Amino acid sequence: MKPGNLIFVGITAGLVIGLIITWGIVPIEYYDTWPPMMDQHHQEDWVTLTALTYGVEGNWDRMQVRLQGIKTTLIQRVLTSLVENSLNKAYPLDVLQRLAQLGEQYKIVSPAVNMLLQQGTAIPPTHQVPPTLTPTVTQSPTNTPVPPTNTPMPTLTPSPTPTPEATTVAWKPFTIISQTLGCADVPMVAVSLELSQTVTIRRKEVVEQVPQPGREIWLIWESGADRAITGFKPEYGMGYADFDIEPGWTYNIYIDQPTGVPLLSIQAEPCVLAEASPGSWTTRVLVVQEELPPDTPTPTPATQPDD
Amino acid sequence: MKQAAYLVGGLVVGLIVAALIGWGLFPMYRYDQSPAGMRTDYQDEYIRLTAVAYGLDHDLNTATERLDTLGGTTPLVILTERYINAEHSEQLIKPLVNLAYALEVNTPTMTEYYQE
Repeated sequence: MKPGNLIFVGITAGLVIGLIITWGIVPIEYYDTWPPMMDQHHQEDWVTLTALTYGVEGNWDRMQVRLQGIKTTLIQRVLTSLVENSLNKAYPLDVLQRLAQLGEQYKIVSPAVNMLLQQGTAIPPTHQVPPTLTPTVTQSPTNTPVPPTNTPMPTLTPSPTPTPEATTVAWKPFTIISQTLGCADVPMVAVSLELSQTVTIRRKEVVEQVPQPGREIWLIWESGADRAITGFKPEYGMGYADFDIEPGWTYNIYIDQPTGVPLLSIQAEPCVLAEASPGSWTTRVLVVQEELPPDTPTPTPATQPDD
Repeated sequence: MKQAAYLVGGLVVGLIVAALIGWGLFPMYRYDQSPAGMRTDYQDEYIRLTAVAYGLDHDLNTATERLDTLGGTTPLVILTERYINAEHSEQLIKPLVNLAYALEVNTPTMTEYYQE
């Protein structure tokens, strides 16, 4: 065999063996890495933690730094799951709304996001965490950090709502406009919250009843408290929330804040309706209306939003 | 003998080139690191985020699992004491101390901070 051929065969064999060793058997051990180099499970956990911390602290810039380099599809998948699952947990409303705003910025399509954003309330950061820790973007091993593809707006602007244009309004106290009684195995109280407003459509003034989702309904009794957010049972209406109650307690119902004069005080009562079966309890469905003050300017023709 | 030398020489050259390629020019990126492989400031951030998340959902089991990837409660204690000694803001320190207390980990520095 010619020397040249022998050398070629040797080099080829050396290359193959060497690459098997360097890529497969003894690859480079990385250290001082950053989140995008973690395995998928830990990346998802990192995104979850980042989103929850943003929900609590509201620091948008810091959140963006933490998510640098993470694939947008992974972020979207994690945020979708997080926002929808967070509705079942007792997170404060402002945390839920920040999560929804985060989901909106990452273009998540979710009923939970839409519902939480319908409030149209800008949530300012609760406090700014001092940037004593600022993970820098440049990392070893060397790899160029990928700039985020999404460019979110740092200011949170209200999303359009079907309410007429009004700059500042002072709401009148809530009014119970109807109360429907029924019978069931367990006592229950429900609130259906609606906003009564006068809008001008085609130069005619029309009174509209607009369900109010995303509002807090509080139930306070001597030994405890419960909170529900309207809109999570859309089959009963977007302004609907309900509670199970127990006999022997007096329950005070509040809307938005559990302070001041309650909307109503109730107790669990045996059902006395004609259709009542032995051992059944009264259920109440309250339709609660809030109204604009009489001197609120009449809005211009409203553009009906797409549902 | 000469043929063996040519073969071995080629093999050595091939191995050297493969090492340059496999470990230098085109290393194999392994996207399977755990939080323990991250840079220390990212690890600190991971601990802090875990504490903030615990303050929200009070899921001690999940918080413990997260801390276990970094070696347990010791990094939490070290970070918390460092923040306290550096007089960082309450917003930074409080979630860490609360998590430490929930894990029944207490140090004189934390106790002194709580008493202040």
